[in-house]
Amino acid sequence: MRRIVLAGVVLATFALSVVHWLGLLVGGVAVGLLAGSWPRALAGGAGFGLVAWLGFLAVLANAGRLDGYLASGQLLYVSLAIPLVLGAVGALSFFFRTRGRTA
Amino acid sequence: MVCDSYAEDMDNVDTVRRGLIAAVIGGVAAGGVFSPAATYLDQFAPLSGDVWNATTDQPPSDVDGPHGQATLQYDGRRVPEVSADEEAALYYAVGYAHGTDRLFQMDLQRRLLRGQLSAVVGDAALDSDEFHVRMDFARAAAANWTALQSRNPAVADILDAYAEGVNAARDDQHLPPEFELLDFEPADWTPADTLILQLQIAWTLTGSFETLRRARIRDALGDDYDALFPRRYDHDSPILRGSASFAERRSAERDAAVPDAALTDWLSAFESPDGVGSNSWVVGGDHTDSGSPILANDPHLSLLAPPVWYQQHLDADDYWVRGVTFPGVPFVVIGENHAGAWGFTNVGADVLDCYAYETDGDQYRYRGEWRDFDTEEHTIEVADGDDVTVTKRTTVHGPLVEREGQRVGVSWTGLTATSTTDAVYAFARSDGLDDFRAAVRDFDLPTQHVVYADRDGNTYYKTTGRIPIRRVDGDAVPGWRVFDGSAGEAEWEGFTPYGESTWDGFVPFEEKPGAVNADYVATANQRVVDDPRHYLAESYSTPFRGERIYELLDGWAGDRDLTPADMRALQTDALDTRARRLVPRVLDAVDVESAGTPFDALPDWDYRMTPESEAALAFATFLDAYRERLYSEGFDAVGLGADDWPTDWVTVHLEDDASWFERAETPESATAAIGAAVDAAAARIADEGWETYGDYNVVALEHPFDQSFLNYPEFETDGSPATVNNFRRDSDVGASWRMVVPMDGEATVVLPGGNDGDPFSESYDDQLRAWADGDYYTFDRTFDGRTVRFGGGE
Repeated sequence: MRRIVLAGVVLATFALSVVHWLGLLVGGVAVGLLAGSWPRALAGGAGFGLVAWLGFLAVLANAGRLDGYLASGQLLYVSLAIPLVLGAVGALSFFFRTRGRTA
Repeated sequence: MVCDSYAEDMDNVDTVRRGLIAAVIGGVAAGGVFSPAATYLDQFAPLSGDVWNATTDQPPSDVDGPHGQATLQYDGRRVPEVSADEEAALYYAVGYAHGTDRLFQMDLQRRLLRGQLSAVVGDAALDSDEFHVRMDFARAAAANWTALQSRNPAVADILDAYAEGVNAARDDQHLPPEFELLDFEPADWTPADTLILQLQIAWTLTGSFETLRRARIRDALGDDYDALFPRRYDHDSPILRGSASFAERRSAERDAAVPDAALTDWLSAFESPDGVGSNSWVVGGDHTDSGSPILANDPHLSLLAPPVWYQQHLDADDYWVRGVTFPGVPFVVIGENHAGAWGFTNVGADVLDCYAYETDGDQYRYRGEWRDFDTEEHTIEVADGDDVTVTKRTTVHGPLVEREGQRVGVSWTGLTATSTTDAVYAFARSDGLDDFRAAVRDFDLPTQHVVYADRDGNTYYKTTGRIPIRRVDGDAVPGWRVFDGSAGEAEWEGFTPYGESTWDGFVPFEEKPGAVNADYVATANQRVVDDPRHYLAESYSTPFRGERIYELLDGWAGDRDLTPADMRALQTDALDTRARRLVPRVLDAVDVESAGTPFDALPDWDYRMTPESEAALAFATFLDAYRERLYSEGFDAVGLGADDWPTDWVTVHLEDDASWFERAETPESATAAIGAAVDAAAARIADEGWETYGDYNVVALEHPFDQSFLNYPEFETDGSPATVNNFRRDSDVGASWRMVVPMDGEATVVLPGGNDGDPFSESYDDQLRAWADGDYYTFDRTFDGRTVRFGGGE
């Protein structure tokens, strides 16, 4: 059940990410709340950001812009860092629902 | 009790922790929305970033074209083919293509000419805006549009349809990434914007304050001026050869005023960069392998990312045309159609005069009476700064440009209505030589050499554009001095600034140089003829390219019939005739073997400026150092700078006995300067770690924002400022389009970059490597890419 909820939440927040970057943060928050442990929450948050970035690559590839993007240097690094950091920060939500457990 | 207390403590800890986490997450969210980071997140966040939305957006498949059916389809290099039966529909679709692929470039150019750059980039552009406001190009474009609507409603309607297409593309799609980066939206495109872009090109090619610069240099150098700045270069390769010997015109009159550096340096910043010019030639069928003419053209303009040109193919009901245009201008400017092909090079004609006045406050004296300047307050908007108000002043001659109390009136042929648009439109529809010649008569601006060939075997060369005849006391005089505007000296009869001119006092069309069905004619901005009937130009480009083109054409034509491959080899020829003149003197003056690598390669060198050449590196760095030794201190001593130095023609011919070397600040002799220059060049090469010419001669083209992800990749390339393959690394000027068009055979072309202005597009720079390597693409294309249908077009 948790996995189904997680998949639904990831899809919904991914869709939100398409219209606003806050979706990347919300996605991390959702993954963090549903994670069973902090390491999983952290991995899940960053993983959500990575999935969002891979989805972004697919959008670029579909538009014939992937090569130009991969050659863009600083922009490439910034746009990779944004979802990873936002997803990881969002995963801090893990600590909302736990009582002092950190591992 | 203890347990309750522990639980209460833990609740407090949880509350604090949750508060802390909420603060962190909320802080990141709030910081992302309200801090400066918001801009980066809004622009570059994956999936939602405005820059990414801009670059991934593509034109829709169907567009409600208000002018009827049309189809736009791209090839694999983003070159569009536009097809329609009705011209309004055709050019609406062309506008849509330009608005899709080059909208930012178009907006930037019109802002430049209208003096509106500061509104988006801040006060760094204020000087530029002030100059363009004072010249009032916008008013000239408005006058041009008013005149066009009454003179040629059909062309005016096309400009209207084109503008509608540009605006539809803007409204249908995300704006290009640059608009997102600067965070502004472009205003509606208008027909006057198209006309102001034509003015921008014309200004680039003919807007020269050489008269002012030369007046200052002449004043500073005294007796040495004539030797260092000859009116005529001594060579035998004018465009039309075999004319009478040159009758040098001298002007005994002095300048009415000699403006100082404050004004001339300021104005020089808004002239074209060093090296703008072009090559073109047309070879008659008697000298070609096919028996049909071949035409070649490579205009040398600023090399930019994206390029100044946009390639397009148009299919109308009763004609087709393909070639390049300036984004913002609907018509093919250089190219070929069903009947023939044409190209342009710059004449360098003198179509700008400066006038000095006796002034008193806001009045100037004119023909014995005091007149008020026509004045108008103009506010320049400045991004992140206070608006600046400029008072525009005009006289009977045109705008008054002023700086630090220095003032001159300016007449320029672009500041009046012209019929150039009619001519360019007619070129596309022309049905052979007679049609084309008729259209050329309307080509008022800029002054250009046009070459033409048709499929019936005819060729044509003509000097085009309006060229004023100046008269003082009834006698025709050259335009190479500052005239006395108060005395009404040298006025242009029939010229009305910001209005419609009759051109009565200008060189008649029939009296401008031309040739029909010549064996071959080559233009490379050199002197047109040795003895022109009318004064045409203050000076011409150095003849290095012109003489080399004729040298090769003469040699080849004497041996065999020419092919398109020969023409491509000629366009990319990298033999430097400066080196052929100067290297023997270097070898006489210096022991190059002891100078070591790369100078020891000079004795066996073929004078070709190619990337793998060590000798070319030695020569290029030597010449840089030689100029420095010859001129730097001598010019500094009289208050002149490097921009004022003589041309390379003078440099390579400067002999040991020149009076220039008698000055205290100059070298002892040319020979002494050669020795010192070799030492300096060797030190520079060692410092830079260069090994061959390819390390030095790199094409590194920048986007106007000069950001690494927007600039083009760098490539080594052939050529120099004096080779037919003209490339100037210091000013990024070179062949902005190479085109070889046989009237019977496969035409070939290449752009220095790509057709798509989107920096993330594969076609942003997909032709650059071929251009740098001297390769070409076939003009014929396969259009099988994205398709846009207008008005239900098929």
